[in-house]
Amino acid sequence: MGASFSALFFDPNWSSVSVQAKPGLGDLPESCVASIIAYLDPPEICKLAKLNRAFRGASLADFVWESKLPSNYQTLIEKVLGDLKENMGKREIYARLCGTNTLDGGTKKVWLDKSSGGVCLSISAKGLAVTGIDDRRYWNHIPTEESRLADKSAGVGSNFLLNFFRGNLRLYFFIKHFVIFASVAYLQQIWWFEVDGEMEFPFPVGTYSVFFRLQLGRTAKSFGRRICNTEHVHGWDRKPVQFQLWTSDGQHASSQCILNESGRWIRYHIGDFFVENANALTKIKFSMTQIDCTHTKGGLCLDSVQIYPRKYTGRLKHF
Amino acid sequence: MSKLGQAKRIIFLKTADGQLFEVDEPVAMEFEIVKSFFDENEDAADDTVVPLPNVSAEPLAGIIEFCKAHVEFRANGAAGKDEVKKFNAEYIKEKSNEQLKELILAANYLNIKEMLDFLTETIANRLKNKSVEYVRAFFGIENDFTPQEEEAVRKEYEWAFEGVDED
Repeated sequence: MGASFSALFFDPNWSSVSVQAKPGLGDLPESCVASIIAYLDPPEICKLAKLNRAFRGASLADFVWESKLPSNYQTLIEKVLGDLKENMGKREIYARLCGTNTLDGGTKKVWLDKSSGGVCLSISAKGLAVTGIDDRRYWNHIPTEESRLADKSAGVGSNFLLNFFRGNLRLYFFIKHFVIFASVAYLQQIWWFEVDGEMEFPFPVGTYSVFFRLQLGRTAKSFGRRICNTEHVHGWDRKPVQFQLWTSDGQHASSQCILNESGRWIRYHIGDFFVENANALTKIKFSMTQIDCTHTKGGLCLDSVQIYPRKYTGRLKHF
Repeated sequence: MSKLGQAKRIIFLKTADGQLFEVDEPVAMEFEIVKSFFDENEDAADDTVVPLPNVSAEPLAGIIEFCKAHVEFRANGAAGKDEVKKFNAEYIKEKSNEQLKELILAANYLNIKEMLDFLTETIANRLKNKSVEYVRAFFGIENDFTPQEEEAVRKEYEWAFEGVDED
């Protein structure tokens, strides 16, 4: 393209702006950059914040993050974060909700999937009603590094730590990371196997899948290596276990499964439920049963019940 | 003024590189900057030339093409239909990254909302899953952080990268 000196002739007042090289896009104003990055996924936005000052500034824009938050995020904040500073930016709200936040004395945790802002929930074994849990001949809580949930008792002390570090987001998440490891429930043997649970939560609109996260056998460390003790594993290959799910608005799903794989954590799909109204609390109940009392079953680790947006199902890793 | 006759009013625009464009009024009024020029100068003569000192001829021609098509789509009630998507896809297909950058700068200066929305989305699509270096090169920008600022940004966004795919 030709030089722009001809601009001088029609309006000398403009000359200082107009007589210059073609503008580079580096001159793009922050608002424009924000409009561009608003179309990207949160991890990409965070990555591009490292580009330069304009991108960093753009990455703080509220409207960028508002579009990433679940539609009912105000309700979520109340339920999950509680005591939120009023002037907190949307980006920080998003970051907070992506952290591991615990509910109900640490037996449940909730977080947003970082990439898509979908709500994920987990209910630990201690947050479930397990038949016979107090009888140590049947069930024991065993410490593990493999649980995905906060222990109730660990929750108390760690909440103090968490509040202490709340001012520093990085340390806050660092500490939180350690809080999630705790214990799982281990079944030695039982005739009547029943685990029930329920959860009431302001789910955003969408379809969710519910899973039991279980392992046949008990993990141990031997010379630093992970091994699995399967000595108590029995009875699960005789009859299937039944998984069921109910919602407060009348949905019901169930599935059956023979458990026959030992030594690794597996998510067993109970079923899906659909949430139409994000402004109402959705209550769901779920259960896992094997109540054929002609045989005992045992050697099972129960970690948690997990609830994810259905579209993530393909992404879930197996352990 | 144009209301008196059926003849379409023509708006004269002059680019930074000295080219004169004759644009139909409804198309020119898509440019917020031109619209406010006439709102503020109600007695401006019909042959007033509006100077556009930050826009050169090439992107302006592209912008006029886009706005003209979209004004027609709206007039025909085709807005939001497949026809529009097809036009947009064709329009962007031939554009290099360099041209896109010039277009968005010009559209931003002229303040054309519809086109800005379209361009920002198109650029975002071209930046998806690209490295920081690629994006820097794409925009032709330098890292202007001090080492301290760079460290601060890194900390600010650490949460986004630790324990990814938590399950």
